[in-house]
Amino acid sequence: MTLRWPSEQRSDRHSGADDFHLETRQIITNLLNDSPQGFEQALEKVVKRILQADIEGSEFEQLLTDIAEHAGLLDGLETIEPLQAWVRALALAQSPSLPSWEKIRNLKTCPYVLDTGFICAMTLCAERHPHARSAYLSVFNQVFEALENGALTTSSQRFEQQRTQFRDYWKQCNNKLDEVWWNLRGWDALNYEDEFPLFQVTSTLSPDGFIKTLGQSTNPFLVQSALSVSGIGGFYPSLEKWLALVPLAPPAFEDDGTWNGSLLIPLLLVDARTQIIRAGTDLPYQDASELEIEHVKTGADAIIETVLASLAARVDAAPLFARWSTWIMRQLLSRTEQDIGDARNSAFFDNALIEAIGSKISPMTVVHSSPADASNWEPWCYRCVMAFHAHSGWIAPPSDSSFLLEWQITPDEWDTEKGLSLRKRSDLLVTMNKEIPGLHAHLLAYPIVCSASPLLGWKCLWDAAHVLREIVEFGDVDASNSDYKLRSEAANLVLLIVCIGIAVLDQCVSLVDAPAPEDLATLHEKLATAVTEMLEIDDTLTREKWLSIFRRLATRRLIWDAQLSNKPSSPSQFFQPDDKPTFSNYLESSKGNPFELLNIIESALLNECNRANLHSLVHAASIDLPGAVSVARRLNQCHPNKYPINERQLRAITQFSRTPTVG
Amino acid sequence: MKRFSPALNNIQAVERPLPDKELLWGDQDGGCNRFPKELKAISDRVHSSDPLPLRAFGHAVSRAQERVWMVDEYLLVPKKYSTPLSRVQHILEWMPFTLAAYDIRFLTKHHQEVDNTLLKRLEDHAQDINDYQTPRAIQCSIQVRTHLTQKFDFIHDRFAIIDDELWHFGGTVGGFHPSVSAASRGWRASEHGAIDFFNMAWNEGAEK
Repeated sequence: MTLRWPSEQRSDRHSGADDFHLETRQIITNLLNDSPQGFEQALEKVVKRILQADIEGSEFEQLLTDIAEHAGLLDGLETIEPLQAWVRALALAQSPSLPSWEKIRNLKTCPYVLDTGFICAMTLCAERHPHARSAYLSVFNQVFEALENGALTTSSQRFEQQRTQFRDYWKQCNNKLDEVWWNLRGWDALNYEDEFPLFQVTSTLSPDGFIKTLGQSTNPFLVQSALSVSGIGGFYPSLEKWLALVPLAPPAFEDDGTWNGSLLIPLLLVDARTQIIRAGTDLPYQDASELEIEHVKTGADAIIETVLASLAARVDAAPLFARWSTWIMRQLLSRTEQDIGDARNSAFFDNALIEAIGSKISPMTVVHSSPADASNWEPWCYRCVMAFHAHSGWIAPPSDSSFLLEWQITPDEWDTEKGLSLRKRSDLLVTMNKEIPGLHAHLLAYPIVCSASPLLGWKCLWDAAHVLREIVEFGDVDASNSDYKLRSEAANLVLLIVCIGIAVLDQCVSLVDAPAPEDLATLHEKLATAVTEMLEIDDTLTREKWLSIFRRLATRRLIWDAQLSNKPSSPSQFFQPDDKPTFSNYLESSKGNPFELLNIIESALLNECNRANLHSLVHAASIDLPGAVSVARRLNQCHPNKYPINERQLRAITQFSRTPTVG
Repeated sequence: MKRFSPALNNIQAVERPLPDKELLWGDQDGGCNRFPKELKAISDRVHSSDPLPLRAFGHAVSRAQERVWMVDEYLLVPKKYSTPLSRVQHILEWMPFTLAAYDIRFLTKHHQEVDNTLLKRLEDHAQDINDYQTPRAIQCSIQVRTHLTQKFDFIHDRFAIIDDELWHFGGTVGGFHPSVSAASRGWRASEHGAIDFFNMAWNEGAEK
C-alpha cells in the first residue's frame, strides 16, 4: 500500500477532493467530442481575440455563450465555465509569454482560490496538444523569473504589499535558515494565488523543469507558495509528491554542514516535520487507548523511515541531517519528559525523528560540530543531538574538551567576545528548559559521564564557574549592560552547570560500570556545596530553583543510602552513612523554613523512602513535624497568597508523623 | 529515547488560592459586573479623556507575590486624548515600592511614539522597589519586550497572568479601553497552559 501523510489519510476519509476536477474534465471532453463542425474554429477566433486585445470577463463570457448557443451546447454556467477554462488553456499554449499570461490569468471565473477548472483544462490541453506541455513550462519560467525580480505584479494591493515587505525583510535577515525552519513566519502562501494554476500544472506536467526553476530561486516566499499547490504543504499535501521532489532538489548543504542558500530542501524538510507531527492530532484529547496510540506510532514510524531513507540517498545527506536534527532538537528541548511520551504531542514525533536519524547517520561521515554559518543557538543544540545519538549507541560521544573550554573565561573576558559567545550559545537552553535537571542537562552531561572521570569533568566546569559566581554576587563593574541582567545571566549559567552535575550523578548511578562510590559521594557533596553557596549569593529569578535543587539532592541522599533506603541491595545505593552532607544535615538546614522542611519530607515520602528510617532521622534532628505543619497553617491563615499551602501535603505529613512504625 | 537515569518523583508546586471567576466591565467607577446600563454612562466613558482602568486589576497587581506578566500589543498606547507617558505612569501606580512580586514582564509591540526612555522608566522602577525593600530575598525585575507581531504574530487577544491567575481582556490589559469591553478573571493560568504560552511568546524575542 502506498504510504501517505496523516493528513492525506484524513482527507480521504472525509471528502472527495478531486471530484470537481474530474467533473470539469468530463464536461470539456464531452464538449469537444460532441461539438458540431466549426465549433473548434469558433473557439480559435476567441483565442485570437484574447491574445490580440484586452477583453473584459463579461465580453469573454458572452463570446463563448454565443458560440455554445449556436452549437446547441449551452447548458448554463455548467458549460460556459469549463469552456472559458479550455479557451484560456488553448490561448496560453499558443502564446506562452508573460503578457499573454497576464491577460489570461485576469479572465479567471472560478470563485475558489485554486482555479481548478483552468488547471484541469491546461492538463487536458497538454494531453491533446503535445506542444502545450513545453509551452506551459516556458511561460512558467518567464512568470517565475518576473515574480522573483518583482516585475510581475498583482492587482491586489494587499498581496503586492506583502510580497514587497517580505522580499525586503529577506534581504536584511541575518538568520535566513532559522526563518525557513520557522516555516517563514507570518507569510501567507496565498499572496501568490494568481499564479497558482500555472505552478500546479507545471509541477505535474514537468516536475524536473519545475524543480530546476525553484531550485535556483532566492525568494523563499515565492518558492513556498509554488510548493503549496504542488503537493508540499498547503493544498492537498502528498507524501508521494514529496518523495518525488527530494531526489530532484539541488544539494543544499556542504560537507561541513554549511548551508549554501538553496531553499528547496529546507522547505521540504519543514513540510515533512509538519506532516509527521500531525499524526498525533488524530488521537482523542484524553484517554487514548493503547491500540489507538500504537496505530499512530506504527504509522508514524513507517512514514519516518520512508522519509529518512529518501533523504539518506542524497549527496548532502549527512550535513542535511546535522542541520535539520539541530532544529528538531531545539523543539524537543523545550518540552518535558511527559510531552515526549505523549503521542498527541509534537515532542513524541520529534524524538522519534531524531532517533531514526541516528540510525541513518551511523554509517555516514558525521558532521562533528556546527559550521561557521550556524546561529548562536545551534552549536549546543547540535552537541545535544550528538549526545542523543551516542546515547542511542549509533556514534561515539562527542569530545567534552571543547565544551569545557568554552566555560573557561577570566573576569576580563566576561564582557568580551568569549564571554558573549558563552552567553549567546547557552541562552536558548537556559531559558527553554522546564525541568531539573532536564533533557538538555542530561544530553550535555552524557559525554562527561562517558569520560574517564565524570567527577573530574564536572569539577572542571564548576571551577570555571568562579567568574560567573562573582558576577552573580557582585555584578560586573566594567559592563555597560544593566547589573541585574548580567547577574541573572550569570546565575542561569551556574544553574546549568549544577543541572549538568545532577545529570552526571543520576546517570552514573545507573551505569553498570559506575564510578567508585566515593567519587559519586564527592560529586554529591560538591553539588550540595554549590547549591548552598548559590542560595547565599543569588537574589535573581533563579533563586527558587536553587531551593528546588536543594530538595532534590536531599531526596537522592536519602534514597541512595544503603542503610536508609528501602532497597539496600540496589546497585544505586552508593552513599555511606558518613558521606556529607547527610540527610540529617539537609533537615537541619531547613529547620528555619517550615515550608521547605515539609517539601523535603514530602519529596522523601513520594520516592518510597524507608519510613521508619525517615522517622528516626526526623526525631534525631529534633524536628517537630506536627509543629511545622501547624506553623504553616497559621502563616497561611494570616496571608494565604504569601504562604500558600498544599493540603494534600500537610495531610500526608500529618499521617506520617502519627504512624512512626510503618516501614 | 532510552532513559538517562532512574525516575524520581517530584513534589507538585503549591498553588496559591484563586479568587472566584468574575466578569468585569470597564466603567468610570473602576469596573462593575454587569453590562453598562445606560447609554449616557457608555457615552461618558467613550468620550472621557481618562477612561479608568479596572480597579480590581490594579489591586491584584499590587498584591502579587511572584509574577505579573502582561501581553498586549497596545498596552502602552492609549486610544486617544492620553499619552504613552500617562499610561506608563498609571501602570507604575499599580506597582508600589512595597510590591512583593519579583518577576514583572510586559510583552507588547514596537510603537514609534513609545521611545526607549519610556520603556526604561518602566524597567528602572524595579530598582526603586529593590532600594525601598532592602534586603529582598529575590530582587524585583521589570522587563519589557516589544517583539509582538514582529517576531510573534499569532496573538489576537490580550491577557495577563498575576501569580497563577489568568486574566483575559477583550480590550487593553487593565481595562483602559474606552469602548464597552470586558475582562474575565479567576482562571488557573498553569491549568490552561497560559504560563507556557507566555514563555514561548516571550522567548521569541530573546537575542539569539
